[in-house]
Amino acid sequence: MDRSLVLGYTAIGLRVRRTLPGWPSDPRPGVLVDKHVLVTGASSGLGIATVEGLAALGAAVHLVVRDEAKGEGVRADIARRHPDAQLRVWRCDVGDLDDVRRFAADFGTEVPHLHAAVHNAGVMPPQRTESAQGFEQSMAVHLLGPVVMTEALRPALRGGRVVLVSSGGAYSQKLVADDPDYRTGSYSPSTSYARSKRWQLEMLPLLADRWSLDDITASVMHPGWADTPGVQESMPRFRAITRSVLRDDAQGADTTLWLVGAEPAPPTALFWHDRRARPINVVPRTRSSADAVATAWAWLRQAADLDPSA
Amino acid sequence: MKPTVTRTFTTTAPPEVVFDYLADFTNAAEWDPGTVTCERTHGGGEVGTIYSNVSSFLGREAQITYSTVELERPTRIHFTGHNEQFEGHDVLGIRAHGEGSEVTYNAEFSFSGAARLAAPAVAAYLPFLARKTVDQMRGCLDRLPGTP
Repeated sequence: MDRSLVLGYTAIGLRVRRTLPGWPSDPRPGVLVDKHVLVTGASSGLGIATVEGLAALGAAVHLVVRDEAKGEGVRADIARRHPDAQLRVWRCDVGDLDDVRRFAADFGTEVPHLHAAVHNAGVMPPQRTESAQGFEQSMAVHLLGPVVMTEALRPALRGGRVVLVSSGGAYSQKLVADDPDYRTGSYSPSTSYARSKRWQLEMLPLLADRWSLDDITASVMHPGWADTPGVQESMPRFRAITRSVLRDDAQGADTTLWLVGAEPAPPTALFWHDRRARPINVVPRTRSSADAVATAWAWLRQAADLDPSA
Repeated sequence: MKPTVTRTFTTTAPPEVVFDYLADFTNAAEWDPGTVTCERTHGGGEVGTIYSNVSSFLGREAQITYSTVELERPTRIHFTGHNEQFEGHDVLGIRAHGEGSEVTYNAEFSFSGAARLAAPAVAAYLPFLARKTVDQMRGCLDRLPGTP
């Protein structure tokens, strides 16, 4: 179904798969009671559905948002539907690595045990934009911010799980290891977005190896095509055509909730869609060489300051 | 055409033990069924260390110079090998898995000159070679001192 994209990634795909044999069981009700989970980009689209789903499973959920007022509105809204939920709003700009480090230091002091971090924040800048540290903005938000935040929270995440929300758009791009900041060629918002999502897939096994030393699993998931504010603003034509079959936010968040709540933890270093591990390439031309992966990893190590002692 | 093969397996050896053994490429003489001899010719095992490797492949022996290009204890090892007609990468990813490790072995080959004609044969032979290599590597790792 995925190879046809439209069947696999829309609401149709999820509806069909749920009825097929072998569909992994839902997380047990209350499975996340007394557990803390962090969600970035928590004040819109999939983020809201993810927070709500986690709260329904009993988790204390930390909404990490750029706009505190908006985050507070979302929190209040969810609290009305889940009066017992423990919800807390934190301000952090995931694209600004200094702000990520500041946030992680505060957070780690107050939340010593974190069951899972869901890196959901996403952007698709209409023009090439640089982050506070001079990185291309989609790379900063989708890759560098999540990596720096996870690194800083490793002590709290020991034995826990990391989920990066990606996109099937990654399938369309190969790893451009020698131009992570999109300095050459004409900028296209959707290409930039998909490239950063490709980076997530290519760096996943290396990050998973690194974080395994603290018994942390790392997963990348693809929500399918959901009717999110990102899609509404950045891809209006795509939305106009596909709207009737786009997934709602809860459908888009399904695999994330399963990855956070399933017992035991799903295996690490895999790319998931609709609760099943997927290949990271569907066409040979996107396959990365060993050289490209090594170049990309060296860049990421430096950009995210993974070897401060070196 | 760059024939590539990736295999993941588990061993009872913990990551540091796996890393220290595999990062010393002279041990390829033990774990790699294709390696006949492997000697260190420059450096002390760090990035930039050079090894002279004699491998037998599809019935022929060839000298290949290997260098260590990445070492990240205990999770990542990357060697490149080359001679006039061959360029290859051996990449090892090591992750903690229970008390032991899960190891991902990735080998990539490319050929130049007349040897390019061998690429399809190599690609066809790789799955067989990979299974042999991984079985032998796992056997070596499971027997290492420091392994429960």
